[in-house]
Amino acid sequence: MSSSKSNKIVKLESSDNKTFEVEEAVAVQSETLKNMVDDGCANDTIPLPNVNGKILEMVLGWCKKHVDETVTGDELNKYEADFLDLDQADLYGLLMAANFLNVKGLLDRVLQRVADMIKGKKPEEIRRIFNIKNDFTPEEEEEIRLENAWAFD
Amino acid sequence: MKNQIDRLSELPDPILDHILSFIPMKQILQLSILSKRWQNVWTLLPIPEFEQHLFTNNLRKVPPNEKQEEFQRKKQEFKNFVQRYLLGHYRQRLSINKFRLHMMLDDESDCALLNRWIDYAIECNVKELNLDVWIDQKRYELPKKKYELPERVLVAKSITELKLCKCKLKSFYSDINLPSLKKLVLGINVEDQIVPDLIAGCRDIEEMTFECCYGLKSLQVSGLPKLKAIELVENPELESVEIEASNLESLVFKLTRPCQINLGRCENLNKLLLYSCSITDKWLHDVLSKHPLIDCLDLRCCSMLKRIKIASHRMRSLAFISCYELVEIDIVTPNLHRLEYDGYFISFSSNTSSLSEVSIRFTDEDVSDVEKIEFLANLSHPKLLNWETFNIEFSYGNPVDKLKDPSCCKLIPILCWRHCLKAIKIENLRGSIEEDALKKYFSDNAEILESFHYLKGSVLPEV
Repeated sequence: MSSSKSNKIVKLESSDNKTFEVEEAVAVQSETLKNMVDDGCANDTIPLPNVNGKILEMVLGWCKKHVDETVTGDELNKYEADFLDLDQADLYGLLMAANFLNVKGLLDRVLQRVADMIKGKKPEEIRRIFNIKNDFTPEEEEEIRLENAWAFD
Repeated sequence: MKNQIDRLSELPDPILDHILSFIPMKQILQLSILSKRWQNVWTLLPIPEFEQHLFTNNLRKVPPNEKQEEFQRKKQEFKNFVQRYLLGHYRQRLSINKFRLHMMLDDESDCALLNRWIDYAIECNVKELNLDVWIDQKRYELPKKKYELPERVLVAKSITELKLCKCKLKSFYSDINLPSLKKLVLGINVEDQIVPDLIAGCRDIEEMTFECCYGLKSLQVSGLPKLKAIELVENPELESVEIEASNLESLVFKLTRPCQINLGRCENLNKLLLYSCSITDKWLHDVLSKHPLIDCLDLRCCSMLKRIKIASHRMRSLAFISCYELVEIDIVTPNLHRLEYDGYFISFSSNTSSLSEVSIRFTDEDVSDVEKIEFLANLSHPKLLNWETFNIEFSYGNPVDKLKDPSCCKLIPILCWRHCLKAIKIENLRGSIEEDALKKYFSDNAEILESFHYLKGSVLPEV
């Protein structure tokens, strides 16, 4: 059933000055934008200085997909799985955007994806994947291993 | 060229917390080695339980002469782990929702350490405190020493649930005041004189359980307006109980010795479970008539009960288990849904029409299957019967003719099964059943019977 809302358009501008126009129903998938719409601040273009164009396009794509009634449950699941197949730069961009825009379900999925990248891996591997610099001296590291020997068994 | 930025470590704490909530505890501890930023990330997470044996149990691979040393090492690791967790929360002024500790205390210094941990927990406004702690029994020491609960716990404003096991209360506390306490579970030694003070200090308590509390000889409960449930389980020295609680809904007594039970005004009582209570017929009938809202009654091993008579519109669930002196049960309970009986084959008359769940087991060996079914039939229209190793499903329909006052159902408000039973399905899970005798019995007596199915389930192999 379609809502009887007016087909109001919401205009958004990314940090790199790209503009996007979406229907209100799509935009309000973001709680942040929904609040703006409800407060009547969404009549002009809304600037989003902390989200770049590439990421914003992705987020809006997600929102559109979730409002589309022709999409089946299975299709949606597949879409979500493929959606998160990103390199780390994009993944984090998406994470920060989803957090800032407060998009239902998206933040959880991204965080879950990051957790999946960590789960079951040894610390050395995690450092490699995420480019974490080990700033411990060998003695310090050994001390921590001993302190938490239970975890490293 | 790959981008070499470490974005993961730069994530703000709340987001990192969220990510870590998907990762098991043990791995989170391993992450403390990634870099300095990660060193203490695990201390921010809520750890509800600390169990010493998780650290000290895995000593299989250790050679016997090193086992003692290794055990001590692991024990120390555990203590450090708990200490850092509590200290971390304390220093960052984080609240602790639940703190449960299961630990063996070696000596006085361990007891002092535990006192400090309890201090931290209380400073962090702990809500649920659960202590299962005992002092290592050295062979030459008598009597057994127990950890004494510090005063601080009994005046902690934040505690909503307090569960104590194996330790003990002192015989005197200068003040007991637990304004937020809702649930109290004690499985410890107490001295009789402290209990009234304890009860007086928990005004708003809702649930109280005393289990295996040596030293508890008498219990008087009154003046607790929010008390909803009391459980008294196997308290070996309990001699007398007096309860007056107008909002009490559930009462469970499991006794191990004769104990005087006085129930005062508990108008809202609806669930009563009595195990091994030496109550008489008169006591039971008195209690039932004074508490007409009881809808669930469970009597087990009450060996002084001989004749039970229950008449109640409210009663929905009844259980009579192993009350071996019973000779007669008479129940007029039109809204009874559930009946459980385990005992001798005795005289059972009932007036029930909504029974949906029945579970029966007879101790006698020489009761025939037909006699058993007749017993059941007197329970009017049960739909499902679970009976030892059989499951029986009864289906009913409308009687064919209008009957004029049949003798079999004179005393019950509806036409009995003889006129309404349409189908029987017996599932025999084990053992044997006199199939032919039953089939004949039903076809003789059930007027509109259409089908009789007997399914043999898994049968035990012949030895």
